[in-house]
Amino acid sequence: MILNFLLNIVYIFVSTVISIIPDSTIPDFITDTIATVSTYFSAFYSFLPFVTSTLIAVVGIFITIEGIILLIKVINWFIRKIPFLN
Amino acid sequence: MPIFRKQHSFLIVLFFTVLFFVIFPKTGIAQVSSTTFPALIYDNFDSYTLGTIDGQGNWVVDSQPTRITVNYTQQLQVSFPYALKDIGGNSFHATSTTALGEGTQFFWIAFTKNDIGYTADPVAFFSATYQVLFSFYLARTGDYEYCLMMTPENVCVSDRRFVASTNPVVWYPIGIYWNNYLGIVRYYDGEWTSDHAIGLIGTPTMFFYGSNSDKGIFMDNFTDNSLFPITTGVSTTTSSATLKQRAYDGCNQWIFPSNYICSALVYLFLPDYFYLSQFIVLKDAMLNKPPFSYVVDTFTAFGGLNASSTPAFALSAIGAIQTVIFDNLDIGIAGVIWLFFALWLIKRIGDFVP
Repeated sequence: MILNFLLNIVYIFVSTVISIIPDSTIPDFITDTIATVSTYFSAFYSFLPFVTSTLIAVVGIFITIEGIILLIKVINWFIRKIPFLN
Repeated sequence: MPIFRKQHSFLIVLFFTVLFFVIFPKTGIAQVSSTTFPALIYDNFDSYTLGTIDGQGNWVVDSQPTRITVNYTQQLQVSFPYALKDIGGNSFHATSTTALGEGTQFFWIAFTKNDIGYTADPVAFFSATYQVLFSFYLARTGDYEYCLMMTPENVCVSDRRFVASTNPVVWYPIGIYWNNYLGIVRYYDGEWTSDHAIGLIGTPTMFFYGSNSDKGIFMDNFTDNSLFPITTGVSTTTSSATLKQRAYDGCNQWIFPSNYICSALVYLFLPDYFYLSQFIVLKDAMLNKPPFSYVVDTFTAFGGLNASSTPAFALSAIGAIQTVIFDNLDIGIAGVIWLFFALWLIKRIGDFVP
């Protein structure tokens, strides 16, 4: 009963907040660009396989790290908005 | 006063110790994640699109099947009400309605075929050992010939039952289980290393096929080119009241006044499944909202970045030059890239301020 009430309050609050925010999708030209870049990578892969593999791995790790950092900052931003916790 | 405070603290610690280590385990509340829900499960697939079932309704692909330990006193009913349908007018019929009681859990599907007679005997059942897991084994000899077998997960080799037969070349395992914690049915679509299971080749392991009115998971029975349903009614619903009822039942095993205290705690602090499941939906919704969607979309987009696509142009060098110069240059440049990346990474992490 008590947990139901608290969970529902949290759910209503969060769902209301996120319902205000519009959905976002990555623009098509970016995905098309990445697909095109893949064809260039593929051409270089047969010629310089180590360099190409390294670049792909580096890009992947870079995106991962920046994504994690962004998420940490977003979460901290939310936490700081909670009264008395800042 | 200090003595009183110390006693007071001791009583609080004692209370929660009893609560979490005696009452909750005794009532089964602490075993929620490892038990099977007693719930009527049903899905008619009416709103699903044909193709892979992954992501539709509550069906998801799971990396590994989970053995579920059944430990409850109430009965579980599994039914396939939509299985009694003719598919193409020339089909197998699958039926199953049974009740599972403690210690005698079993599950069966009887297949009959109206044009060659029928058998009412169960062709598969699970499980005298508190294990309930639906493992459908599919074998393929050609593009359109499949064999379905069912087996208890814990005795998957010796006790499997043929539903249909063929000369299997490659075995495809399909595990279906009910995850009571998440309230979903899952099927296994990954590698399986037991006997006769060589693994998947990236093709759908279960057909999700049918007409608009007869959707479900079907296997081609390869004897008369008709389809027969395997699971046209497998769970997407559950009952939070059932979970609570289990807890109340556990409380009632205690003597007065512990049973009332236990029931009160269950009433107050055990959340209904409905309220928990809302957050699963919420999580999916949040993934479409910025800033989370930016991360998800970026990962998705860069997930397509690879070196196996069709080359935009061809690059080549004379064999000797490739061997003497470019191969070494390749390794050297790659090393330099890793070095600079490592330096950047150290600086990035070092300068990071949350």
